[in-house]
Amino acid sequence: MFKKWKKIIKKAFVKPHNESQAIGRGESKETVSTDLDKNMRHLKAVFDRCTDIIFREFEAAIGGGVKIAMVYIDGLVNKEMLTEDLVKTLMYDVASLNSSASVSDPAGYLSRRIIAFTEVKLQDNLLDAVNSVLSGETVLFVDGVSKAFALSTQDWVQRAVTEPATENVVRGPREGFTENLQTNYTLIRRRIKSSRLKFETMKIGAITKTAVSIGYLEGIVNNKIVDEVRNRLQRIDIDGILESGYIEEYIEDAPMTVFPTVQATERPDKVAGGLLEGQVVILVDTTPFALLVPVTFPQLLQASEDYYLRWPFASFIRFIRFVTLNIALLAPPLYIAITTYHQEMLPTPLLISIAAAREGVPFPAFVEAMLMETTFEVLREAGVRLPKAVGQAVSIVGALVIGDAAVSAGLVSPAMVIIVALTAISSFSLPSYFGAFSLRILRFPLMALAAALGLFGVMAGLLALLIHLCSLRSFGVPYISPLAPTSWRDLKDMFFRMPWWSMFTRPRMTGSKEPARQDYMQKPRPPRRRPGGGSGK
Amino acid sequence: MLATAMGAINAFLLAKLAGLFRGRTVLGFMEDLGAGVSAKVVALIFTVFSVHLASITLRDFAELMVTSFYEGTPLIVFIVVMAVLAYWLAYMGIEVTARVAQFVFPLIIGGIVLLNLASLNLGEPGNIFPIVAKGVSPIVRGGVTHWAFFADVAIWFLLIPHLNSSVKKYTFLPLSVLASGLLLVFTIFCIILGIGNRIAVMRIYPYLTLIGEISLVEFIERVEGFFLIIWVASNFLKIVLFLYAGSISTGYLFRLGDHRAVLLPLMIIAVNLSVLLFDNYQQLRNFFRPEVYAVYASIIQLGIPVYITVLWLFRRRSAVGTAN
Repeated sequence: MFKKWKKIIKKAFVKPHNESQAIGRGESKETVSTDLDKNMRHLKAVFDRCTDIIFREFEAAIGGGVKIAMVYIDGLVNKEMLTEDLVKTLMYDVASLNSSASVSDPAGYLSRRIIAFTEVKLQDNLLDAVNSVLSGETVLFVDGVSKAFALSTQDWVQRAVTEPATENVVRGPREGFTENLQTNYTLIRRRIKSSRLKFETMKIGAITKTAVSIGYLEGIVNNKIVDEVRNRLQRIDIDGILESGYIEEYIEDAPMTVFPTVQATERPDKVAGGLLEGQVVILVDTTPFALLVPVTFPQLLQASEDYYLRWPFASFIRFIRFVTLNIALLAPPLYIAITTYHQEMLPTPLLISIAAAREGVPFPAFVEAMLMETTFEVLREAGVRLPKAVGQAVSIVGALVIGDAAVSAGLVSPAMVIIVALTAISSFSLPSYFGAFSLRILRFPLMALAAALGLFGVMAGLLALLIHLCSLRSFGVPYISPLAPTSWRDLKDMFFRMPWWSMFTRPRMTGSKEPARQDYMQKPRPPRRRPGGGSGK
Repeated sequence: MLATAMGAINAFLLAKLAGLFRGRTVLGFMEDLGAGVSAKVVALIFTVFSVHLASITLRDFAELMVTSFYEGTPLIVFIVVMAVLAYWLAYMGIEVTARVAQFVFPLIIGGIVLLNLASLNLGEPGNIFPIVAKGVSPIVRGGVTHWAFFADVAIWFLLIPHLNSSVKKYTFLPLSVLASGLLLVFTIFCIILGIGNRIAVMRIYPYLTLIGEISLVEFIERVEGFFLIIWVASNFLKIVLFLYAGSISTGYLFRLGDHRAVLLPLMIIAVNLSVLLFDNYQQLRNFFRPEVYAVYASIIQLGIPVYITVLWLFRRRSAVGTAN
């Protein structure tokens, strides 16, 4: 039945968009002609009403003035380079060249001897030429030659490499990805100087033609995962990709869950670490967010800094993070459950002080908690959206009004304010903004369950959550993988971060192809006799 | 009470005996032996048994929730919530179930051990005595009761083929029974040490009473909440396994391609049974008396294994006979 509906809907709304239709009129698989004027007429028709496209025609000082035309987009190319290296060379410098009148392969001769650029592509097809122009290359047509020359002259205004906004560290590199794919390649390549680091690029988006790149370390990565990523990317059929979030939603394993099964990160060092552990990275042009797959839930709780700090510090932070994870998810539901159903569970003095605080509050704990949590989420969202100066004002007003005035007006109890504040701070302490997002959402149903069934409701909710988490997979890897299915070997990097010299192997799920990561017995052993003097006697 | 150790060893021997010659499900094994009809009968017994036990577990669970934590809440609320969750997990399949169990298992065991340790400072050594005041017969009686509780182990007959081949099939079952038996002995020891024999016998839930008494450094007290977590999680897993095993045997009975299809009906039957079977908790406890429950459990715990052993011996001999 549904299949039938699907067909009808498809007929009515989804028009088959093959490339030429989606791109616009005037583009076909026409080949480059030897007649320069014909080519230019065609291109001018294609780029009709595109004021940023520049057409420049001139004569080269060779072969008695060959007519040459170049096409590029103003702002996407390095004009200085074009003037100096192309136009000037062709108009003046080639005159000194002792050119013989008869050249058997003019296109090859031009690209080998005349056009002084590092990257030159020869193109037969006008459609390719158009695409080259659109991606910032300068396309050169020569009268009498049935090839177009695409010169890599891309140079546009771009943001410098700055510190990433989402994942800050105290110790560690401060570089973040930028919107430029080439820069992002460089940032990763500078960290992994190996020919095993591969990047495969494809264009996704019928209109935007966004470059999307799959990166992995050959020999470490599981090839099946790479194939799967490639397949899923190739299946995408959409008009435009503006951010890696578009792609994320197309390649997820579980599209209906609140948990991210693809990790988005701005940190090149994190990507490099992931590649070394056998993950696959997906870079998308025009966004600083790279995608790492497969990802597990525990990985969302790990920050790259965990690996730069000494291991006792890192382990301590990990422990704190598990505490905050639980607080962020469970503090309000537990508060509701205990104050509503299980007052007897509190030690008597605590119970008395909470009861005293709640005295005079007109709402049940659930309504109180919902009120506060919603207010907090609103404040948080306002803080993100508003201009920075105003955002601060909002947060001050929010803190004063919500925190102080609401309590003194007797609308909420001070205990509730503490709980909400604790929850908020805890959820900020989680390293992955996107992982913390799912907890933010799940808190609300858990609160409702706590209000309906008390602790049992919370338990049932957690069990449901656990079932859900256990059933998730990210590119074939179970979502809570080092925990269940338990891999004792991989627990080294779970609750604790063991010392580097003791982590011999890559994670079993992604790096089993080349499990050994380092040599054994690398624990530092200082020599008995101190080299720095001081006999000790 | 201390005779639980005996019960554990009983079950240990049984599990070892039963685990010795089985690589497939009990049903597939019997069919291979050429006993198709009796395989169907055994499947029927397994279905009835697992659905029945699931419903009893549901009821038992809900009774405790209502009597100890939620006075006035209808039983059916807890039963239905639990059953729906169990259905969902069983539907997800044995792999997800195993992962959930793996995640929950350390919590359960750790929780029990922690609670026991916390209760140790309540202990009065004098509570242990008298040890064998009324002769051996109450010990045997208690042992049989607890032995019967290990009947659940028999459903592993159905689950064994789903195990990863790396698991040592013939040792994990007896070992796990032994471990749980030891944990039980430890717990009962703590109960007797903590609140004394007389109170323990009078209370319906002696362990809960014990936990209620726990008070450490004037602050950690009334930790029944932890008990609640353990209780919910462990019962939940038990119900899921019963449902799953029930669906496998039903699937075999009717030769279904996908045994998950019967999960929902089985769950609904279990929910209904759990409400209908007993009028009150006294009846349920009555059912657990050794005269009733041990006899009932021995059908699956002793009867079927013995039958299969005999069948296997007989068939093997005849097979050898025809080969010669």
